[in-house]
Amino acid sequence: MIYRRLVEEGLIPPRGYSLEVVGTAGSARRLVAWEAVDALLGEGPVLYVDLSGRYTHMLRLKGRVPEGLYLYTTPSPGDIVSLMEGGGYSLVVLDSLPRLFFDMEAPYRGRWGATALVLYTGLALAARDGRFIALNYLSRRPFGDSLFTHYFTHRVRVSAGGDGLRVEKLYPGSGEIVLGDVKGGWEEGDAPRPV
Amino acid sequence: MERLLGVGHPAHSRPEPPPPLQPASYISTGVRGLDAALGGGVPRGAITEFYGEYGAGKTQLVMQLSVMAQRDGRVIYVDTEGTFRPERVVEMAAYRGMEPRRVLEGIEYARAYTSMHLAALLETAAEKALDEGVVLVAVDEVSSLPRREESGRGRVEAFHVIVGALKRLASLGLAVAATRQVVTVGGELRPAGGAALDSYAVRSVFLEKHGEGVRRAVVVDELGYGRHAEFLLSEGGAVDL
Repeated sequence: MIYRRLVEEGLIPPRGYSLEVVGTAGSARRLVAWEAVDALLGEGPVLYVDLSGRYTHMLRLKGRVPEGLYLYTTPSPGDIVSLMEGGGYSLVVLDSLPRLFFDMEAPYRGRWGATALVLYTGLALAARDGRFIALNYLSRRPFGDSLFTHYFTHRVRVSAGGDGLRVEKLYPGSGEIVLGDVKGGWEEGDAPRPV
Repeated sequence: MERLLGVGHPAHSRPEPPPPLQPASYISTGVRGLDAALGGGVPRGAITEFYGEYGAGKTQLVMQLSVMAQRDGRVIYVDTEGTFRPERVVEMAAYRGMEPRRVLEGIEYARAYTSMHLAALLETAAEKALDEGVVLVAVDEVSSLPRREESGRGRVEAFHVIVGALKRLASLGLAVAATRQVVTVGGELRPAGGAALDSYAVRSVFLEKHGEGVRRAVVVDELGYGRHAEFLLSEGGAVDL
């Protein structure tokens, strides 16, 4: 629902984008990507680079990996580029930019370069009419803002408030949608009992 | 033509999908409402973080987890701030009908004095965990040492090493519970450590004071978006209202 609303209301195009989704801790920004996966799996395989491990844990709670989902939790930046270049994905999700930067084995400057390379590959996908979503952290500004901004064709900010999930378009142009009564990745009763 | 000359992007085939996932299992927090909000408690094989202001109940909860976990196995408790109180553990164990002496013996305590010391202790914990039946590694608190000692590149490296060690522990199937302080950014409370610790934990719980002795736990990760529980900090530990 979230993803379809973003497309229907013109915050992002149906395809050919490299989208940055930024939000603070607790903003529920991943729900945008998770719903995009659900919405687009029917169009073809999805590559989810789950460096945070949250999507994998949600699937563990649900007890299954959807058909057509290619899920990786510990790939190196080089692996990620190679996987993305594999082609044919209806969607590629990078979860998340800070985890890619901080978790990789590389010297300081190498971290910036390798992260930029992954984002460049996402931008190249967008140029070939593909879809790329990168989840990012927001403090005063998005993480790596001054270096990474130009690798995105579209940028949105997600925040969770009393009225629901708010998605604000940052670039290009502006716009906003509010989605009330949004739930997490699994429904009440889905989770197994404690052992 | 480029492809014939070997120029351009190499051709790749898509990899096979990963094998089916193992179901989650949990360690109870000892608070039914919080267990329910977390879908069963603190999951094994994952990092769970508790963050909040001073006095919000972070240390109390990880000490209580160290008691509750002993129904399943041993605990390694790494303390970066010197706030672990054995007498509190004794009270919590007694309240739950557990033998306090045995509970204390089941907690291997270590005090970390520097970032690299913390990382080294976590590496040691990984080595011991498999041999000694450890089910929980608790770290109270995870952000303060790198923030105090390091800046710039040094801080990046310190967080890289610490998060890497925590993730290794989780990958061994252990429950990892960590606490984090908060800072004020633009008038709002945010977990300390910024981007370096963003989403390093699979489960994330914000704790706040909610009246005399009452604490409110709000699950802020996407898995439990909007779920919350209130509990009382009593003599016997954290208990349901």
